Amino acid sequence: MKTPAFLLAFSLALPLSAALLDSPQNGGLSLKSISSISFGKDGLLLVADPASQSVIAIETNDAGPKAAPGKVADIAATIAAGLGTTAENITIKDMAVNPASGKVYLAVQRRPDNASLILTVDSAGKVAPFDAGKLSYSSVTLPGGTASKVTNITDVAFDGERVFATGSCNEEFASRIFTIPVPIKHGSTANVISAETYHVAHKKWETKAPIQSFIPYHKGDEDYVVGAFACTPVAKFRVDDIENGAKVKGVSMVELGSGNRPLDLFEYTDKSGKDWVVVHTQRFKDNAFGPSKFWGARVSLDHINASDSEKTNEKATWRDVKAKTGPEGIEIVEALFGAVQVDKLGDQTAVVLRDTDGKLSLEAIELP
Amino acid sequence: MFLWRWLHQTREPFFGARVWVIALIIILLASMGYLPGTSVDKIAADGTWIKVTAPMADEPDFQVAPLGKPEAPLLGTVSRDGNTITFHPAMPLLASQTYELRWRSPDGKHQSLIRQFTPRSGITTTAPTVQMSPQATLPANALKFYLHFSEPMEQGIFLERLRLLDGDGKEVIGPFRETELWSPDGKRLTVWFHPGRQKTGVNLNEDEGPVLRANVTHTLVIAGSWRSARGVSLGKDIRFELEVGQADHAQPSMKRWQITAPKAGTREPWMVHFDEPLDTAVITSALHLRHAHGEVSLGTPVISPDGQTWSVTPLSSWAAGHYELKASPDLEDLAGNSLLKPFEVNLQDPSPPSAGVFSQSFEIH
Repeated sequence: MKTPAFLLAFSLALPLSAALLDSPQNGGLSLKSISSISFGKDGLLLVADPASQSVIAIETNDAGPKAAPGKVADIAATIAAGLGTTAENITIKDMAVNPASGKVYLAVQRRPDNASLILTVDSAGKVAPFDAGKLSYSSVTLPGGTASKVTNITDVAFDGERVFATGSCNEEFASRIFTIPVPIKHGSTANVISAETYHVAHKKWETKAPIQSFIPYHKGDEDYVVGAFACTPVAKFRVDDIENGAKVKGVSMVELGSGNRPLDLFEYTDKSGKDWVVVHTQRFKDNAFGPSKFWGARVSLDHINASDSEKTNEKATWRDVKAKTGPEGIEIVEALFGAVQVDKLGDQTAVVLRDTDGKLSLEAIELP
Repeated sequence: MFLWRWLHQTREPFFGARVWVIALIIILLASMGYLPGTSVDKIAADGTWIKVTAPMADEPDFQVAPLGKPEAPLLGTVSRDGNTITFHPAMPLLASQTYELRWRSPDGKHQSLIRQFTPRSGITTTAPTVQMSPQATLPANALKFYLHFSEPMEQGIFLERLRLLDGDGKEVIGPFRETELWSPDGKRLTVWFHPGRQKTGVNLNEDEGPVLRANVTHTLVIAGSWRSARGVSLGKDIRFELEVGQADHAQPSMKRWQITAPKAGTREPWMVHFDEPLDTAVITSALHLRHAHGEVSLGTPVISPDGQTWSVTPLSSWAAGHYELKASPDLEDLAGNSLLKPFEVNLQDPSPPSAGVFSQSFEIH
């Protein structure tokens, strides 16, 4: 999962010696479950562990040199064999590319025992277990609601200054954004913000729908979380200077169409210098077009930057659901058809885990 | 030869002791893997490591693979201490699975051991069971229900294991939200009806209609192939009938609750009968009973299967005095309408939701 290029550039401008972890534990990490993974700078791996209601930041010491991952055909079968089972008994729950090394990290769960672990894929296409047992880490608890614990963590990301996570409690259909300051202090508790969003298709404000995937985003001095919701509005929430426990009202900019569930977001700059946000989704209705229920669209940053009331909320831009492009600044990305997982690799490249006739392959792709 | 001569020296009183000494030496050498053709192995009770002690080549190429699949060894880490190899598989060994352990001895020949992993808890074939809650008539705009399993179940496939049938026995397509929500102990699954179809006015609701039809009995079918985390399946398809009533857009109201306060000096239950079924998973944590002197020490509350009644007894007799029953404003009915506000709020609507009541006071004598 995603760390925007402009945020990485921002974070790399910070002194490299600045510690990312405060009072970390050294070794002994055991992950109970994994719902989402993401990278910060300097090989800092963020893991969402819903079974322990926490986000864990791990110093992987995987600092490069950078190389694109090798293509692996039928990677699910390869992984399953290494775990003593078959492909239908594993789920690849998330994928993250370490921007420092290009190495791919996969969060895998095995059935029926539900054992979870992280695997890596290197530039030679070699699959290996990621051994966190001797690494330094900080674990941060996500606070629950009045009645229950946070057991659904949909996404996690790093913006150079803070770690963000989104999630909800099992019993609640509500939207929460968690923030964790850097350096990440082991044993601390995250701040929580309740998010309220205008749902374009719904034509109503609501507080109940959880953010499925997001990226941190800066515009000038303003800090935002850009999130995607099921059915599929893209909204932004201003999160600078917001206090713990506060409510933040989102601004919806784009509606990609109903019947879709967003899986991943990332930002990139194309060869002409134009900035885009890619929203990768899974269609749960019948296919409207294309060869797969998994598809992605790129949305011009001009739409994301929209703040004019003439272009947001009630007047947000709707994707033309009957065409591959349109209106201007919203385009289907052909290379993402069939992509079950996707993450940014470089300036105009990404890594996808692609489903072809029921078999998953890992490959690097060029972005348009 | 030295041992042979030493053993046969004629001091008979020490003959037995010498046999024991030699036996111990042999056992010691065998356990250290110094005797050709011998090996000692041990598997952790939780399947997280395997140790083999045997004569090993400098490069023993140690591997563990499911029996019959030597070309697909397990991922894991190998460490060596003398002739003892410890293998940590990337994931624990699977219960009941048979593995082949292979390595090279000093003469370069392949050696192997075949072992079945039996976990500490043993291998049982008792099928898991499942119950559904709430056992109540669901409003047509119900948001969710719970499945309570007798043990942790396999995850990642719940959408493939659940089917919803309409009143004609025809499968409802896409009835559930894709997000998989297990309780921390892995035994309770929260299943959400697809919110895009249950909320009025959302595209999916307008395009395809709601998941549930009012005044129709639907059937939830749970596939018998669903396995527990131990690998034992439910065995046969399990069906629950879902009675569906009219859509519910009204908030529950504490004012309408029938509250039966007990008498002082007794341990009678404090009974609350709600005005409609509420979310069984959150009732307990959403209700708090306070005495004038602070929180009351209570036993485990009992919630009726239909989610409409809550009762609790004290750990010691009720003291006379002033009591307050407080409810969390987030406490919801089955359609997501809370004490604070209805589930579907149109904030452009000039009429705000009515102010809720979240506590009631009582004197008991």
